[in-house]
Formats: sequence, structure tokens, C-alpha cells
Amino acid sequence: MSAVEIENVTKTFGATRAVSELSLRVPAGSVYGFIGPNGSGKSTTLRMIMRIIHPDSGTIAVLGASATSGEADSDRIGYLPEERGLYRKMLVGELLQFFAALKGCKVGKAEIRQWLKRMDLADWEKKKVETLSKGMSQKVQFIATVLHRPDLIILDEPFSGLDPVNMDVLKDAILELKNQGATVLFSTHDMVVAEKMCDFVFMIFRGQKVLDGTLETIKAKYGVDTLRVRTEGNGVVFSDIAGVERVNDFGRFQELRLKKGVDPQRVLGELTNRARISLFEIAQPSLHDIFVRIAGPEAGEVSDEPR
Amino acid sequence: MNLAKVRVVAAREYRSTVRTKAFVIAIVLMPVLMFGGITAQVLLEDRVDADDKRIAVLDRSGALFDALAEEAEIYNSHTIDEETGEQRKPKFELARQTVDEERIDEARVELSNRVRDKELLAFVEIPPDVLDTGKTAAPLIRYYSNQPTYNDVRRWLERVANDRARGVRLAAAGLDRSIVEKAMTPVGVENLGLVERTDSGAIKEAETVNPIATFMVPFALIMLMWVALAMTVQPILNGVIEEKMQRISEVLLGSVPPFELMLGKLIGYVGVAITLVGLYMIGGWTVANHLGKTDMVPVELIGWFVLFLTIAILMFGSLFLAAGACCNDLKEAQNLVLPIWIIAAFPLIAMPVVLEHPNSPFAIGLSLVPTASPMLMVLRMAVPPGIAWWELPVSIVGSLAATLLFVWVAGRIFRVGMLMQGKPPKITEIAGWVLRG
Repeated sequence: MSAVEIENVTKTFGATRAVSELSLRVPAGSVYGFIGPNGSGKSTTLRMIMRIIHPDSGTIAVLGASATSGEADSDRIGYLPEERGLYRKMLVGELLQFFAALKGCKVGKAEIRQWLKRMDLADWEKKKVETLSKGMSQKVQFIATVLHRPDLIILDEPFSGLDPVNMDVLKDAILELKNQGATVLFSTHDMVVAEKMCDFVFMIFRGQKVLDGTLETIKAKYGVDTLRVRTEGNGVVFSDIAGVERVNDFGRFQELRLKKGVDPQRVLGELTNRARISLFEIAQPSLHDIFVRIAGPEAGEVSDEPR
Repeated sequence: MNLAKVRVVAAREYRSTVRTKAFVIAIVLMPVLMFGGITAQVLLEDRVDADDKRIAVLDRSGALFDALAEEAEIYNSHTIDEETGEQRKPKFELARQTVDEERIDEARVELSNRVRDKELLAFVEIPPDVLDTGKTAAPLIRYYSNQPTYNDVRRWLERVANDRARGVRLAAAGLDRSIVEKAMTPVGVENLGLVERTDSGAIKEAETVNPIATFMVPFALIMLMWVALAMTVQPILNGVIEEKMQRISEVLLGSVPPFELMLGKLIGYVGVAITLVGLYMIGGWTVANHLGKTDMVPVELIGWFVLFLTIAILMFGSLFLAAGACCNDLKEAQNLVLPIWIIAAFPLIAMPVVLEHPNSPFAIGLSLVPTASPMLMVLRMAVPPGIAWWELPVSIVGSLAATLLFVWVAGRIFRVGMLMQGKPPKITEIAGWVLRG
């Protein structure tokens, strides 16, 4: 069964086509990552799933009910929008109760306390929202999103602005909800997080689907065309080596993308002529690299089709 | 429609508004502002300067000065507080000026300069023919001063000069003043209600019309509705703008459809307005009870008042919600809601005319205009003889229909506006949202 099914959905705002003939399927019980540059249609798609805005054409089904015809029940969905906010003058506990009640769910104080404790906010139940730090209010917002035990959890950039500790707290909570049977659909700009957490990755670019599948299938399409190299000494130039298409300098190591059919061993030979090599790794491109290949500045020149 | 969610929204809006400090302060402050002015006036009335007022008199008739000086003595004897011996009001000191008809212009200039030098408050010129009754135009006493807003001396002078002049003229004509005054005793006209026959067959005397009750009660009712409206729609506007600025709107719209959200808010604010009015009515009743005037309180109108207040809040509240949804901050919103305020306040402007002629075609027509109905109907119901039976259903149906239309239009604007960020939309764009949906 699919938690979300989108068929040929198009949405335009004035002259801009935000989403174009998009289709996707989010399997129930999975963690589904949404990636794509800013303004590529991620939030629009999520809002359409939430029925906050309606597609011009195409159909959307959520948890087995049609969202486009208005049958779908938003009470079973938890939604954390990208632009998020809370009533500043309300007490944290009251606020959480209010948001759960809006989902038609009466939540006991004990459950709220449990969540606050879990998120390291145990002392804040009776404090006003305006006294929370940014990271804290983000966690409160997350609790508000999942307090009513939704079957589908949609999170738009849930990790942005969180420190590593809070990021782990949130990640653990998300994975636990998944283990309890919820489907999690989240968008992120953090490719490392997407690689680590997502069963499926979906990329949208200029309103169109460009990647969709498990991380393995996506990477398999791109093949093993990446070399990670660290040299002793600085200032070694690799870009003129025959067969190297692009060099991405990470400072402590360099990532070389090879042209199709180039033998890595031959490149290694070239490299040893130029510098002492302390690391040499033949790898699949990272999700980050794939993202940049599709949406980066040179995407127009370089073939963005997987070979 | 999920009524449980509407209720959740309404409860939150109600609680968060009623609990704010601003609301509590406003409740206390409003009567202070409205009645404080009257109280302050009463308290400050005697706080005038009690310095003596020197007035020079050029009596060109030569017939009035002595009489005026005598009157000034009488007046001055009342300016001292009998208990404390304190000078409460200024004394009037009249100084006779010798009249030289050849140099009368010079005298005026000289006296004017003395007023400029603050030696005198004013000078008065009594014309030679002041007692002459043969003329068609009334003779004029000229009062010269550089403080035209200080009227006490001029008014006193007008009164006593007239009185004295009449006395002198009557004596000259050989008439006895007391007889003339008896003949001139004024006839009053008493303002009464109507006589009715009670159930026991006895005739119940008409009651004297209490001018305070007939004017104060309708006035108080319309002001109460205005205050309730003004104090409620402002939080409505602030609330929507907070939700937009704090980016709460998208979270809300992820849980509640926009129309239910809007309806919940409106219901919450109707509750706020009724709470407010309830508090003031209890306060008003307490005051009336203290003064033994509870019969002045129009208890029979409370139900209609609450009904019309509800309609007014729904009607204007929905417009304010729509306006707030189009704006990013309070400043933008203030401009947009100005026309709404003007429409809402129009009954206040028309109030004096309606109060005086409550059953004129103008008053009836205006009170049937849906946006004016809530205030003007309550006003006209409070003024005897009341309204025709058909006016109530017509005005209720009319204003309810307008309310439904406003809520529907506002709902469409609200839905789009709540998710808009950036520059506020043009009126034509807003119209587009309404028409296209």
C-alpha cells in the first residue's frame, strides 16, 4: 500500500509552473526523502498533499483516500511546514494541547510531559513560547506535529538550524515513529542526512521529477565513476589529467569525476607521477555530488543524464 | 464542516484575547475615558483664577453706571465662599470714566492701551441712547477686550444691563414693574408620555418624560455597541497578522480548512464582545441600582442588543479578518481597514439626526441599510414610540444576508491571503480571489 500517491500533478502560479506532471508513490512505512534546490517545487508538492493548495490537474491520494476530491482526512497526517511558527503568548503545554485538539485528538498532560521530557524540554511545559530558543521552539513544533500519532508525517526541512545534539534527538524520534508504523516524508537540503536516513530519495528540479528510488538504485545508475584522492603537499593540479571530467576540491581531499570508460588504474598512475598519494578510493558518487550534477551551475554543460 | 475544530479555534481565540493585559486594561480604561471627561469638567469648573477683574465704563448715556456699580456690589458679595471665606470667583470692579464727547475716539485708544497693559480686563461703552425705546434696532453696549474667550463679564453685563434698562424704561413710562412682571410670567410646556387604562380599569396618569432617560439610554446603547465592536475587531486584526507574521497560518491550515478556521475565530470574538458587554451591563446595572434608577435600564432590549451585536461582529469581523489576511504587518492593515472603520462608524455620525427624528423616512431607511442596522435598530428601539413591527424582521434578514455575503467573500480572501508572503496584493487581485475562488 502507498501512503501517498501522486499522479500527473501540475500546479501553476500565474506564469510560473511550480510543479509539472509529477507522479510519485510513497510506500507505507518508509522514510521518504525529498530533495531539490530552493524554489524547485518541494514545498508546493507537500502543500498539495496537505490540501492547503490544490493541483490544477492530476490526482493525489493520501492514506488510501483521494485528497483532490476532498475525502482525505488531514487528521491522520502530521505536517511541519517550512515556514513555521507558534503563538508566542501561549504556554508550551497549552499550545501542544491546542494543536492536538485541532487534529481532533484529546491528548493527556502525561503524554505531553513524556514528549517534552524526551525532547529535553521537561521544565518548559508552563513557560511561554516566546521564552524558548530557536532550537527549542523547533522541537516543540515537532511535538505538535506528531502528538496526535499520525500515520503519515510530513516534515519540511525538519533539521534546518538544529545543532548536532538536537539533530540526533529529532532523528531518533523520527526513526522511532517509523518503527511504530508511521510513514515519514521529509524534505531536506542536507544530503548526508538524506543518505543516512531515507529508504527512498526523490529529487525534484524545476518542478519535475529527476530522481526517484532507493539510494542504491540511484547510485547504481551513476556507476562507479568517482575517485577520492588525498595527496601530501598542496597545490597539485589534477584537472588536466586525461579522462578527468571534473575536480571537486574539499580541502582535505579532492574528488575526481571520471569520464565514461576511463580506467581508474590509469589515472592512479598519472597521479603518482605528480604527487605522493596518501588516500585513493574508487567510489560511487555521493548524493551531494549527484545533486550538484543535476542542479549545479555546470548542469547545463555537463550531461545530467545518468550513463 | 467539523464543528469540533471550529469550537477548538473559537475557544483558543476567546481565551487568548480575554486573558491579555491589554484587554483587561481597556475594559477598565474605557469608562474612565468616556465618563472621566465629564467628571473632570465638574471638578475643574471652579478651578478658575479668582483675580479681580477691572472694567472701565464709558457711560455716554450717564444713566446706567450707578445701577451697574450697584449690581457689581451684589455680584461680588456672592464670590466669597461663605464657609471658608475663600475668594471662589473673581470680583468685578467697575471704574467710571469721564466722558468727553469731543474726544471720544481718543478715549477709546487710551482705554485700549490700558487693556493691552493688563491694567484693565476690558472697557465698556454704553451708547447715549441706551434707554431710547423709539428706535427699531436694539441699542448696543460695546464691550472691548483682548480676551474674547473670557465671557463671564460680558454675560453678566448683558443680564444686569438689560434688567436695569427695563426698570428705568418702565419707570419712565409710569408702569409698576411688579405688575408687568406678573403679566409676563412664562407658561411652560411639560413633556409627558401617554395616558393608559390599566387592567383594573383605572386610568394611569401619564409619566413625565425624563430627558436624561430618553436621550441617555439610546446613546449609551449605541456607544456600548460601538465600544464592543471597536474593542473586538482590533484583536481580530492583530490575531490574523500574528498568525501570518509568526508563520502559524500554514500549520493551522494543515489541520483546519480555512473557512472553519475563520468561523472559529469569528465565534470566539463574538464571545469576547458578549463578555465585554455583559461586564459593562452588570456595571451599568450596579450604578443604576445604586442611584435607584433601575427602571431606566431597558431590560427588554438586551436580547435584541445581543443579537444585533453578534451580527455586527460577524459582519465587520469577517472583513477585518480578510483585510488582516492580505497584509504582512499592522501598518499595512491599518490603511486597508480604514474604509471598513468608516462604514462601521457611519451610524455614530448619523446618531443625532436619528435620535431626534427616529421615525423619519431618513432614519428608517438608514437603519435598514445592513451595515448600519445593528446600531441604528437598537437605537431606534430604545427611543419611544419604538419601531414598526415589520422593521425588525426586515433589518435582521437584511443584515444577516449581508453578513453571510461578507463571511463568504472574506473566506475566499482569507484562504489565499493567509499563505501569501511578500508585498500586499492590489485591490484588483483581491477581487480576483473572490471571483475565481
